[in-house]
Formats: sequence, structure tokens, C-alpha cells
Amino acid sequence: MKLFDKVKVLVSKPEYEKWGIFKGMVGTIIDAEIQFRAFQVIFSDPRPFSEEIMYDLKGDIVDYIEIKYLEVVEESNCTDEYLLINLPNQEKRWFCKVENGYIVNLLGEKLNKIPYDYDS
Amino acid sequence: MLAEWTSKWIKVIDKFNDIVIDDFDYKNGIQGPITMKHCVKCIAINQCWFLDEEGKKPEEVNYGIEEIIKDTKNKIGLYHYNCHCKKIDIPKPKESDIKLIIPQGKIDWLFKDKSGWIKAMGHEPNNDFLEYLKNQIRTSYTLGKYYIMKIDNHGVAIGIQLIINGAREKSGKTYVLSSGWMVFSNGKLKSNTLIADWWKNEVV
Repeated sequence: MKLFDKVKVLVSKPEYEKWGIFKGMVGTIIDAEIQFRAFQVIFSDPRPFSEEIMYDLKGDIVDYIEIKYLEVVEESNCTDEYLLINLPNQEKRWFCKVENGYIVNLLGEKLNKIPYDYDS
Repeated sequence: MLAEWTSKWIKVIDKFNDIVIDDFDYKNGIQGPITMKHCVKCIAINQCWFLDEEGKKPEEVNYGIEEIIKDTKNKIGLYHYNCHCKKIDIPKPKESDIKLIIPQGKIDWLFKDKSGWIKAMGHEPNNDFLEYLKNQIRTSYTLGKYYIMKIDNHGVAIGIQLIINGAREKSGKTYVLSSGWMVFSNGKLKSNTLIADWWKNEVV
């Protein structure tokens, strides 16, 4: 799980629903860095753009969703080099990926202690 | 025009805390250790600029008379009990005071995902359009044409009105959109999404 991956929201939570984000919605990770064990995700109108419907298209919703409530549905081809230029201060220690149940940074360090338990 | 002359801007400061939202900590987000002493939301707004109007600045606590006279060790604060934050008046920011932080991924997303929108307004998804968009953002923000969407540990999310004049076959048309940003310290704004929606907020 990383920048530009398409992700599905696995839960319904009042704090997400308040902003129009519901279980099953699919969005795209839009920021490279992980903050408070959450990715910034954008939810756009899935309809293809056309001038006929442009004023009817739903606006984007952008919010931070906790990693434990996300599932990858389509991986991006984002490289580590591209992730790095998108991280604050191009800092390799920023946690920016989820691999094999671990939140990791570009140095390979792990944030959570127990795999798939993203709060550990 | 009158509103522009009389608009008052404030800066939120906490003299006991030098940490601002820009000082993200790679492990947590906003610097972790400092949060043991300070409210994370208050760190997120420390040194940030806001127009001194409802909906355009963090809401202050409106203490009732009972809370004020209540015998408690908690001190009345700006945003919560024992809050260190104060607000000070600052001059209306100039466009040149505003520094925009836009990660490359947000630009690539704009050119890819919003290409249809950009072309429908007669523009092309390129750096010329990006520079034009950035200028419009600075102008709108300094005119106070924004509203606060959300304040949480990640910072203050705002929607800024974005006015795009049509180009080429769309010359003469004006498009009013919304652009999403996080307020960072001392006139910095970090992009959430460069084109988010049509502008629907009536309070401008």
C-alpha cells in the first residue's frame, strides 16, 4: 500500500461518514507520507469526465483514513524514488508504505511490532 | 471592497511551544514528544494565519458564566481549558507572503485526473496553467475567500475559492471552483487537492 494505490474503505465510522466516506468506497492514496498511521485518500466521482455532466460531478473528498481500515484494490507503479521526492523534506525515515503487514519507510524500518496489527 | 479594507487577520501563537505543523515528525505526523504537554490541535494551528471572521478561523470556546465562576484549577483558555494559545493581530497578508507547498504527486494527479476539467475551461494541463492556478490561490486566500472545513491532528483543512477565467474557445467565461489546502505556519499552505469541486459555499 503506497502513493496512488487504489484503496477500499473497510469500515463504517461516524468520523468518516460525517465527511461522506462510507464502507466500500474506493479512493486513491494522494499523499506519500503516513501521518498518525493514516494515509491521505482522495475519493473522486467515478464517472468519466465529460462537459455534459461536468457541473453534476461530485466534488472530491480528501481525508486521512487509518491504514487498518484500508485494503488495496489496485496497485500503482510508484517507485521508491518517486515516493522520496514526495516525502516532506525528502526524508527517507518517513513511513510511506505498507508491506507484508508492516508500515515501513524507505530505509526498511518497521513502525508496527506485530504484522497486520497497525496499532502495535 | 469595504470588506477588503476592514478585514482583520490574526496569527495564533503559543509562546510556550516552538513546534509548528511544518515540523512534521516522520514517525507520527506532528512532533510526537511535544504532544505530551500540548494539545495536538493547538500545535497544528500554532503560528498560522487566519482571517478574523467566523468560519475562517478556529472557533474559540464560548465559556458560559457558570464555567467562568466555577471553582476549578483549570484556567480559561482560547480553545480549551489551560490552552496556551493567544491570537495577535497581523497586517493583511500580501500575495507574495503566501508560500505554497505542492508535492509533485499532487501536480501529477492534477494533470492526469483533472485534465478534462482543465481542458473544458479552455486551458491545457501544463506548467503555465499550474502557475496561473497558484496565483489565483494566493489572491483568493489573501482576500479571505476560503472557509475552514475541518480541524484535527493533521491540521486545519480549508477550501479556497478558485476563479479560473476561460481561455481560447472558453474566453469570456468564468469558472468558480474549490481548492483544498492545509494551513501551515506563517503564510504557508500545503495542497490537499488543487481542483476539488465547483465552489458551493455561499459565505464568501
